[in-house]
Amino acid sequence: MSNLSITPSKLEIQISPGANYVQSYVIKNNSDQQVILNSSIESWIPQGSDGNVAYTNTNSDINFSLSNSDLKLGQNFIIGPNQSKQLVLKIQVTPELTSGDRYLTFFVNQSTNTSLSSNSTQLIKLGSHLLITVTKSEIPVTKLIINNFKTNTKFIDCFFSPLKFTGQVLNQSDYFDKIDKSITISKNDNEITKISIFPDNVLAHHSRNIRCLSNNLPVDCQLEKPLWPGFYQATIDKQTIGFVVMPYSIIIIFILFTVLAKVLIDIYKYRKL
Amino acid sequence: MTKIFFLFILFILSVCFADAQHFESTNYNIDWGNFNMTSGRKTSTNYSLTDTVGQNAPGEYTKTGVKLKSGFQYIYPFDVFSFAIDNLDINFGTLVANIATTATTTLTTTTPSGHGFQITTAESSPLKSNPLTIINDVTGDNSIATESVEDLWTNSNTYGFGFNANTTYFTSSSYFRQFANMSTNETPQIIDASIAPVKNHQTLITYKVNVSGSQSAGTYQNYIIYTATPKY
Repeated sequence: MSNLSITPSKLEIQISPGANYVQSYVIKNNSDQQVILNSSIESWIPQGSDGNVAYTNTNSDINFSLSNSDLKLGQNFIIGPNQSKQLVLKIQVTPELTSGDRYLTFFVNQSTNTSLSSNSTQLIKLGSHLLITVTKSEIPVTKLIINNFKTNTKFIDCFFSPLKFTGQVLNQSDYFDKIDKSITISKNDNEITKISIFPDNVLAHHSRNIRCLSNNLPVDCQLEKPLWPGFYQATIDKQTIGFVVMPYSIIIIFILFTVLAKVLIDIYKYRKL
Repeated sequence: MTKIFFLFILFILSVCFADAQHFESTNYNIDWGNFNMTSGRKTSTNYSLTDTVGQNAPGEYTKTGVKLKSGFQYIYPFDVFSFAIDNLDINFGTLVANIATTATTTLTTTTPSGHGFQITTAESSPLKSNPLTIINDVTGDNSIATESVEDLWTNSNTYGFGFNANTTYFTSSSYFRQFANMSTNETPQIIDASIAPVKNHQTLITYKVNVSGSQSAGTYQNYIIYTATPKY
């Protein structure tokens, strides 16, 4: 059994060339056996639009080191059963570093100092992402725009068919930023509700699928039922899509009932003749 | 005069603490994410409350040349990422030619609030015995399996070493993939991911190995590394 945790799980900083930053991490061994660990930093690029990453095996131009007096990056250390250790990561940005984002992960890597005793020995590598914006600007300019904003269908039943919104937010700038947008739902040009988009990070020149915010949690972007019949509009930024809400299920049931009644009346008349 | 003196002391302290979340001496370093008066979880019979009192600008704060864009009350304070493997040692026992042997392990993931996760995996090398005799990574019944492509593996004449995960990355428990081979610089592949936060999410990994009668006797070994990261 091996069980590790890392806090914080993510660091997002904006740093000027020539400045330093120090961040402490708490690594906890939640198991009843001691573990041997070491630490490392790896660069990555975003993969897909859902927050996955792919590691690039490239060296970062930012200098990283541990400020722990007894430990260096890559050096093995031991955490006893149910014990924690604080690692202090020092991030040094040289004055000549070019502006732009750097995306990296601070890893704790499980290690072993004994010879293999099994066929396959499984090891944990646990990461905490570092999103670092290097810029001389106090407030770097970012531009997030919405793309492919649409609903799953244009014709919505008042009671049954789910109304879901999908779309991507594209970051056209050189710096990551959090989504700060909402979907405005209006009917007959009157705003009836707003759905907040979850404040996910969108990385530089990359897209992220939208999720919505409900009770501080990410959820699918969808409109709660029932809805009154009518023509609705959903707007995010300046993109608007329209959809029609009708009691289609009731209309279909009514038509079926009418047809059935007509057939039964015809059968009754036919037998009477 | 006394009031001015206290205000001056408070000013000095506030300036120090705004920039001095890292304390150090010759032998010690102390780092605090924030300088708080108090924080934590308060509970009663019916209610649970988490708070951070005195946190410097939760959500975003700055010091010279640096702006931190996240604080632990930014969305919700749970910011711990945990990952566990139930057993570190996978033993296949004595292998019998043309009879596949399987073994399982369970990975358990808990993510921070608001964040999903991804798990990638890779092997240090194929199962290897001294002197450099290997059990090849499986290519599947249709010879298409790689580290990123699955293939059906039910044929007893299909030999090799591979794995399945009970995730959307596999069609069924009969499909297997190779581990990415780090000794040949293959890229670790995602085997499980979620865009939603999870608590004690379990991923069942099934290892499978099958050898032919011509496979050399010996003890075959490798390392399997599971890399767990939250979504960014």
